[in-house]
Amino acid sequence: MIPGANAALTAENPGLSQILVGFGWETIPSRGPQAELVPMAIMCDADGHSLSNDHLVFFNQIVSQDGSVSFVDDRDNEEIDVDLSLVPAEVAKIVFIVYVDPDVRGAGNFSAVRSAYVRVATRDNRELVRFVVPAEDNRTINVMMFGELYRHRDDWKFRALGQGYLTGLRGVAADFRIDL
Amino acid sequence: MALNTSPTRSDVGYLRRRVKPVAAEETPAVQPASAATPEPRQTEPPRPASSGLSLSPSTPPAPAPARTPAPSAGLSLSPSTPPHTPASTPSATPAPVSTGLSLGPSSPAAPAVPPRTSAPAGSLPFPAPGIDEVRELGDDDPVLRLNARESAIGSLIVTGAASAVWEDVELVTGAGTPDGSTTGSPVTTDGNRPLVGFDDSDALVSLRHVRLLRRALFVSRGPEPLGVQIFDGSTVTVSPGDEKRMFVLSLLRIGGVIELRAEPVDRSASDETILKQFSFVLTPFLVTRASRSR
Repeated sequence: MIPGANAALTAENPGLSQILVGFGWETIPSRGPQAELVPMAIMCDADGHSLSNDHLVFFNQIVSQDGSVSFVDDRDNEEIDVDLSLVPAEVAKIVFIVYVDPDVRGAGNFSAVRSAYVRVATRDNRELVRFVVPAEDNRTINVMMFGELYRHRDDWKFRALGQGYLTGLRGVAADFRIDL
Repeated sequence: MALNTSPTRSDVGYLRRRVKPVAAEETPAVQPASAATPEPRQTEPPRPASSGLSLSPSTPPAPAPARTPAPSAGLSLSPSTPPHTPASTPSATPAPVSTGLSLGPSSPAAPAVPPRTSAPAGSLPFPAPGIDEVRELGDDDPVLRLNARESAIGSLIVTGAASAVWEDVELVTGAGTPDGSTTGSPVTTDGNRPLVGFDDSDALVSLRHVRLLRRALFVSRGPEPLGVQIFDGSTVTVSPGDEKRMFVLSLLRIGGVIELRAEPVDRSASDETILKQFSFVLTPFLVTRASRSR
């Protein structure tokens, strides 16, 4: 996939309900502090805002209150599972971001990150789509939107994004109206 | 005796909790905590008040007719009892806040090595204010609790610390000072940063790996009080104490959230004494050498 492209998930795979969203990357080794990437899922309403602070899923908030989105650390570097049948109707899309942990000791951007990808697969790991994030000059990017699941009529689609933030998690918090 | 059924006064601060308990048969059904307070999540009822300040001999907690959260920290002056009841009664077990300073005599019945497991996620022992609700940790507000996001993003910065002690989930324990010297064993994370360590004069906790951390302790010795800052810029200070007492900052991880406590200690106590009071035992650090190749 290329940035901006979308793929039909449930329309092409009738009966598809449980999917996994896997994230992977490589980091150039360093003796000093290294960038540490953290995937996060944000459950958004039709306006593109998070429904609440509890509608975030990441390693320390590992399941949404409705149980539809859960964090797993399994096959890929990290993984987020989604049960589409449990996603509340008010959720219009689920955005998957990956941020570099803003530790004050530095290495807070994507410059050392290579071969980053996001993929969507069935629960038995049959891959449906894969998006390799373009390797560009990412020295100033500290958060990247990898992709999003979104409703299209009665179906779910996946859109590849690959858009970076220069303003870090504060920019994410402002855009999605969440407290970080 | 007449029962006070008037609503809770919210306009007078010191009266907020002084509502006479109603009779048990008139107590309304307690709503599930998850429905009342979505954050922090509580799937179990609050623990009995056994983790609070107690001056009475230890007795089994009386069944409370209503929910009585314990606002106090883990300081206990009562005779020591095993911190954990047998596993057969897990629902009545107080939260395993084993770092509480205990001045009571040791009970011969106490186990030699108490269980040292962290509390499972979702079993927070009592409601606690957030960092935005507390300006200073001390006698009036001994404890605050960060939420799951505040506990996991960026660095937790502690200013004014003269020493820091850490213990990870495998009970690897070490201590450090601002000059970079360490004793015990360091805990290094995947990001090539110490789990707890000093960067210049600030002590830092790497929150990306908060789930590796079990607890930490920060001690101030200078005129500057201890202060805490988190990623969103929220801060809180720790009361400096008085001539006889000072407060140290205790950090506990309970499930996915961090709890910060101001614990009073004798101002004349040495670091070694404080470590003993909080049951920190430094892990000897074994320096391994690479195998010799010929």
